[in-house]
Amino acid sequence: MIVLKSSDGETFEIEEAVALQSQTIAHMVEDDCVENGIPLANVTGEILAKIIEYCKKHVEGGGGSEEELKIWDKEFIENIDQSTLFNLILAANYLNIKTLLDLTCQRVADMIS
Amino acid sequence: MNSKKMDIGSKDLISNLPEALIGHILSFLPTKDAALTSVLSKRWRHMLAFVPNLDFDDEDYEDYNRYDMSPLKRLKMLTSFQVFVDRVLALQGNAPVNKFSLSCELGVEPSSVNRWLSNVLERGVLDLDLYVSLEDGYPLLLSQVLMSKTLVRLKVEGTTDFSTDVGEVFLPKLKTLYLDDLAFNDEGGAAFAKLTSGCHVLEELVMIDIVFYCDFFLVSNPTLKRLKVRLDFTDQKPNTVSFDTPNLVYLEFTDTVGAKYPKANFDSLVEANLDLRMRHYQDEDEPAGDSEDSTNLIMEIYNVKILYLSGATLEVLALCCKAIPIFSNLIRLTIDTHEEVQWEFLPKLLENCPNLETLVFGVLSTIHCKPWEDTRTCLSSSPVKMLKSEPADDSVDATNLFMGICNVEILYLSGATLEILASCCKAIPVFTNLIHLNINTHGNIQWKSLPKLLVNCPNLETLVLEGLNYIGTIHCKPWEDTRTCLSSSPVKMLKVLRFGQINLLEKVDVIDKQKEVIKYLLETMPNLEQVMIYYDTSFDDDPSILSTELQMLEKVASPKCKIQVISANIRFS
Repeated sequence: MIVLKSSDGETFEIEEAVALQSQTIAHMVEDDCVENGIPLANVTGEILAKIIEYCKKHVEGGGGSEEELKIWDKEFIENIDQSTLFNLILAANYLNIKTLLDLTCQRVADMIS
Repeated sequence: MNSKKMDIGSKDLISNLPEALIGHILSFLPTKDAALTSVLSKRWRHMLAFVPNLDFDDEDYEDYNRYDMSPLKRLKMLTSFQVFVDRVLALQGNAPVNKFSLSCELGVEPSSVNRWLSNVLERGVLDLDLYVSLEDGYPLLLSQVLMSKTLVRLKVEGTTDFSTDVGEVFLPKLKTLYLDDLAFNDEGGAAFAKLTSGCHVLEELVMIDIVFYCDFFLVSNPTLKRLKVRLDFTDQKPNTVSFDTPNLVYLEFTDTVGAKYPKANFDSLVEANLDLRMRHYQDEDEPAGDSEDSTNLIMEIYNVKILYLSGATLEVLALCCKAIPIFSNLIRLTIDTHEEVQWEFLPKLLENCPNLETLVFGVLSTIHCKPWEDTRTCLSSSPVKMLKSEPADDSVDATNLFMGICNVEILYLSGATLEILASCCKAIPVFTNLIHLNINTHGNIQWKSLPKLLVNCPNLETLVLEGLNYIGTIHCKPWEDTRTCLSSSPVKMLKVLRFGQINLLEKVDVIDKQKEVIKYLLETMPNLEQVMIYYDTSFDDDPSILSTELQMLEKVASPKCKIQVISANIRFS
């Protein structure tokens, strides 16, 4: 299990497989500096919770078929307000979660066009 | 741009993102839309530099009456497209570029195309997608393209003479090469050979509608995993086709048989898709002859697990192969029976598939012969577990087919096949092992065929009905005859797919009819443990209404049954 600490002091304990979807966290685990939990100074608790929700759904093998995942993603991304969306972009970028970053950026692109 | 969707506050939000992220967002838009943002402000002008994916299509500049256009107007349009591309590339400076996609039909100058290619190649492009179909031809693909140290994916489509003077080819990172509608004009075959040997990490090669002037066609590459080849049918097609691809996993190959296959190295092949066609001679006196021999090719794919054959390929197997191998690893065989098929060969093929698990046919139709007469023995000893088939036509006597597959565990039937089963079979076999039955009940089906089948499925556990729409009269309830058989049905799980789907011309009350079918099934099937109804309708009908109605049914035959109504968004239970 890995512990993540948001910028506003919330802690989240999640399975390693879920956390490893973030390349940033994966590197930290490799470098073995996760003893006392990982502080994420750039991510608030609210946003981190959303990210964890996404990562839990997308963990390898779980979550369902490709079709079901797409439907879930669609619902996930359509149900957040714009300010959360942008914060998610920044956080996904910082945490280096490619699929989430693409999902959120595509959403903004759709809104522009 | 639809500015109504983005309020002013959001524009600020975007602007506050770091430039690289803005560039990432813009790369999801077509380049011409992304470029429009450059008018927003000075800062936004620079954003284009951070858009790593570019696509330019001169069709966006195409007037509908192209051929009526005055030469001056045409020139203006071409010029503006060329200027646009030049400007965007200039704005990007030396920023790295990821993907560059260019589609030119109108008559852009080759020198411009080369200028743009030079630019992106220098900036380390990874993915190049070119469709260049110019009136005056595009003389030669820029040689720098074939020497790119960064390209991972290259797609070239359009009338390009890819041939005579192909210089050196060195594409050390290229994994995917896609060639469409090109000609290799050199008769020695050197150009193509250079191409395949200059790519040391190539994994996927696609060649469609390629004209080959050389006598022999050889694909030789040690790293290749996926290959798709569709040779163009010209007089100058190669006489021999050889494959030296020891790591190939997937092969898709279309050809008229006129070739010999002297060498076919497929040590690692897992899946093959073959469409081989007899060459039909115009002069009837000419015999098929020894020149048509596909034996070697077929023998060499003996290790595949999954095989897809077009109907025509069966004919080739029958007439042009001296022998076919034993396909000991084959577990899934699909035969596209869309066109006329030489059914006679099927038994022989199936005999050579001792471990086959899944057999898929297209249309089960035949005009003249009853193909199944010979198949009974082989099918009934076939280990096939799952049979899928598309609609059949009425003239088929499918008795032997169904007798032959009576050992299947999983069966997919179209509504029409169900009818065939009921009306064209002298006797329906007992499907002792059948545990999963899926029937496409969308459309006009004879419900009375269903009981006949269900009675013969003593161990059925799962029943899936795809679509409950039926064109019946409003008055008759066609499923009324099914009551007896259903009330002793062992089925535990019932799934209804595409509930609510109707044809556009029908009235809305059809949904009520579909509800009645479900209620009827719930009231008669005593062993149900789980019912799942997948709601799929374009109407604004509320699935929760259905869910509530079903939960409140009093006469449910199986009280412990759990009913779920699932729509694309939400699950009700």
